[in-house]
Amino acid sequence: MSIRVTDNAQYSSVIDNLFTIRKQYQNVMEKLASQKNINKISDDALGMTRVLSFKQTNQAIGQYQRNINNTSSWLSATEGKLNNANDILTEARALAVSQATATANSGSRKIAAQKVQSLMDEMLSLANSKFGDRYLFSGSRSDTAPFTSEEGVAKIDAPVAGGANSYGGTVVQSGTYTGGTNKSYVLKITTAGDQTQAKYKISSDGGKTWGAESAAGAIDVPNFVIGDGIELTFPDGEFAENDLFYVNAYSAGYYQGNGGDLSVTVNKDSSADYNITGEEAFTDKGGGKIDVFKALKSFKDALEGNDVDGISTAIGDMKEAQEQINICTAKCGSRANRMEMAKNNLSELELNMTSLISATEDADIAELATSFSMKEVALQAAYEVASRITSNSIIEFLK
Amino acid sequence: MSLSGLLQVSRSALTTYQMAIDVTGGNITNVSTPGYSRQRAVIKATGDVQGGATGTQMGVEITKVERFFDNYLEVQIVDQQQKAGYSETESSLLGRIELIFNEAKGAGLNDVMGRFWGAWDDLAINPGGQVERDALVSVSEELATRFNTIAADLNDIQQDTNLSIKDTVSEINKLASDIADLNKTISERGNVSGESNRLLDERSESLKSLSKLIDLNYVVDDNGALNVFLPNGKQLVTGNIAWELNFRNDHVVFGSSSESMDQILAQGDKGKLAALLNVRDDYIPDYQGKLDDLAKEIITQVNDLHQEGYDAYQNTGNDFFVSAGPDNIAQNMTVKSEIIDDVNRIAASAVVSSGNGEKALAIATLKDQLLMNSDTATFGSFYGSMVGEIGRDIADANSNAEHQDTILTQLISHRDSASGVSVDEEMMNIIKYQMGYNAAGRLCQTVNELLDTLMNLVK
Repeated sequence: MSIRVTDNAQYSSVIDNLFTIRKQYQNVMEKLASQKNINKISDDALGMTRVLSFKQTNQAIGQYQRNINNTSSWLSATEGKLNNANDILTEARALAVSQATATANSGSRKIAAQKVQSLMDEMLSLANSKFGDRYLFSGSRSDTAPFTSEEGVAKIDAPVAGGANSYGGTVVQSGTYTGGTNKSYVLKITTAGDQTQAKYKISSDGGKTWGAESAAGAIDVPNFVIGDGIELTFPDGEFAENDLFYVNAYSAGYYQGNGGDLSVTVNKDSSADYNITGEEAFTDKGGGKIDVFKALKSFKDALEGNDVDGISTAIGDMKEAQEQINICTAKCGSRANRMEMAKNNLSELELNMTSLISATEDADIAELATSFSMKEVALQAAYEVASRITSNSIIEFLK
Repeated sequence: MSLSGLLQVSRSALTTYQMAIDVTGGNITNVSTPGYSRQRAVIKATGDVQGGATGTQMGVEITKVERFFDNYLEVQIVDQQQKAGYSETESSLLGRIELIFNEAKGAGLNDVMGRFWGAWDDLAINPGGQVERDALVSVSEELATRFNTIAADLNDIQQDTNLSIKDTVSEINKLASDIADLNKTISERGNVSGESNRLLDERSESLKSLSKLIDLNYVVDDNGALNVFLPNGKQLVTGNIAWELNFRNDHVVFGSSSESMDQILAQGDKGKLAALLNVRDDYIPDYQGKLDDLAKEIITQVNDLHQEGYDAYQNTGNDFFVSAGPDNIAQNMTVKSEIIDDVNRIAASAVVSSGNGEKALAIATLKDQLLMNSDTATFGSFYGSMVGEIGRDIADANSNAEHQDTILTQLISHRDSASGVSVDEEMMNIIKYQMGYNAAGRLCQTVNELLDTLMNLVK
């Protein structure tokens, strides 16, 4: 016996086919409209995972490029200022050479001293240059002007209490700062209690790394030393955990900044420093060999005092200072180069990523258009079949 | 042989063909009734032997109305209904979950996370900048909100699934009691000559509806009663008694028992109930767990670094994100309110006295560190593979649903081929039976004339 084709089966198979074709038709239409192969995560789960990872990379690349652009302008500003500093020193050196000769006299030297003073002012103003809101040469303390106009002695600022401290009493500093560079000392309470109970930790680098916890009651001693000759006294009061006190201490000289580096991420797992500290460029600390401001000051003093030996020394000093600045300029240049290279690498990578995303995610329009017309034909055929279904029955012939 | 005997013969033929046309009419009217099995009058010659060897007069009668029904196919369809019911429900529920992770349109969590890490980088370059701080807080809030929404949406679907389970359980009870009622009537009536054909169809439809909902086995006993068993051997229908399932404390239980049957019912991947239970107890908790892991690790890592940093007021030891409680971390994730109120509370600096963005930089580089999945994946790749996994689950469920549906369609078309009504066939049968009826009528007329002739003879 042949297979019976029943009416119900015929109807449901027509409907089934219509649904199937319409679904495929809609799928192709959605892809055409969005021009994307992946419209839902289930369309291609593996592809979606890859696209997400590419997009993360792309987003990160965009960020790195923004970082590099920001720091590149910082670097070129720094380079400009250093070049200006070099010019000033050239001028000072020429002055020193001319005033060291026998033809110069105390009168001309007095006038030259005035000139040196104005050069010093100029130097101060460029060493205190800002980029946006931040000082170029303050190290990582970039919200503080790096240089003062007068040479300072070693000093300890009044302690500052943290904004959320529960300790309401006073803190008094004493002692003489013996540290070689400017530092921020931080004292943090680690165990709460009154003065006999409280324990603390000390950081000499602004709170990045911490020493061992003190014994209980160590805070109770007047003028206890927290380091480099800095002494603190807490007269009375109750401490809570995480109460914080910090003291800025400055070594003798003009510099108020620190030796901290500013760095920025330029690629995955790779960051680059982008600042030149005032310390290395203008002082004899950090990487520096000569204190530029001190040298200018003694040159000026020598001129005023008509001190020929002093003026001759200044010739060498100026030369040394120029070399120091030039080293920093070169450093600036190599950093800018590194940024430039990183930027080029990133552009290349970005191009690759974008084409990878496109290859995975974007639809092939030509192919889609073809399959769209195919589906359209199929759909029309299915409709045609559906319209014929009733006309073929024995009833038609039984008239 | 007698003439009156011939009249009897034509009478039997007339009633038989009328009945046969009745049955055919029944088939035609039920041409599109779902589950209807076509019937056929079984016509049999009845020998009426008269006077030994002198002659045989044959009559006709309908011995029974036969129902075309393939038991073996029925078993397969019931089994397939269970699989199709499972995969259809699974695919539609996971389809709702897919909408939550709309990464394909590029506006999902992935993008927000990228911008979040970027904002820390921007802050690192200009740690004192109010604009950078504002931007960071706003993208962080967006990140937290995104986590909240995804977790809440998953939760909603879980709750809906719970309600569906409740509804499904009462539907199952209704169908089970229908089957028990039908069992009762069928055993009372018996089905010797087709009296219960309609009820059998109805019962088999109920069984199929039931099998869509729950994993079951069945057997027809000697009395014609259909007994339904659950996968653990518990009886759902025995003869004319139906047992009830209940939904108590979010668990499916048998009768008044308090023992949860969730696992037993979900095991075989059969029936809507199993799909609902699997989505509620497996899929969603899995996704929620992953999302919570991700949120938790981001919160912990960012907070750990943020605590070490100093804000613009030199405060230290503060969190950046908060999440209430150990559960539902993603759903409860927020930016600390102090930071929202005052962006200067962001601890971007690694040292006291601001101007330093080292902490912000350290937080920004968290994105490249392998912190997830026992330190084998970054946040981004973890989320990427999580989305991939969900996508795969959905794609699997979709293709499974399509596959099971195709098989079911094929089986049903096989069933239709045996049990379904073909109008063409029925029309031919009508013609055949009409012809028989007409002929029998003519026979009756002829016998009548013969009788007339006979009567005239004796006048």
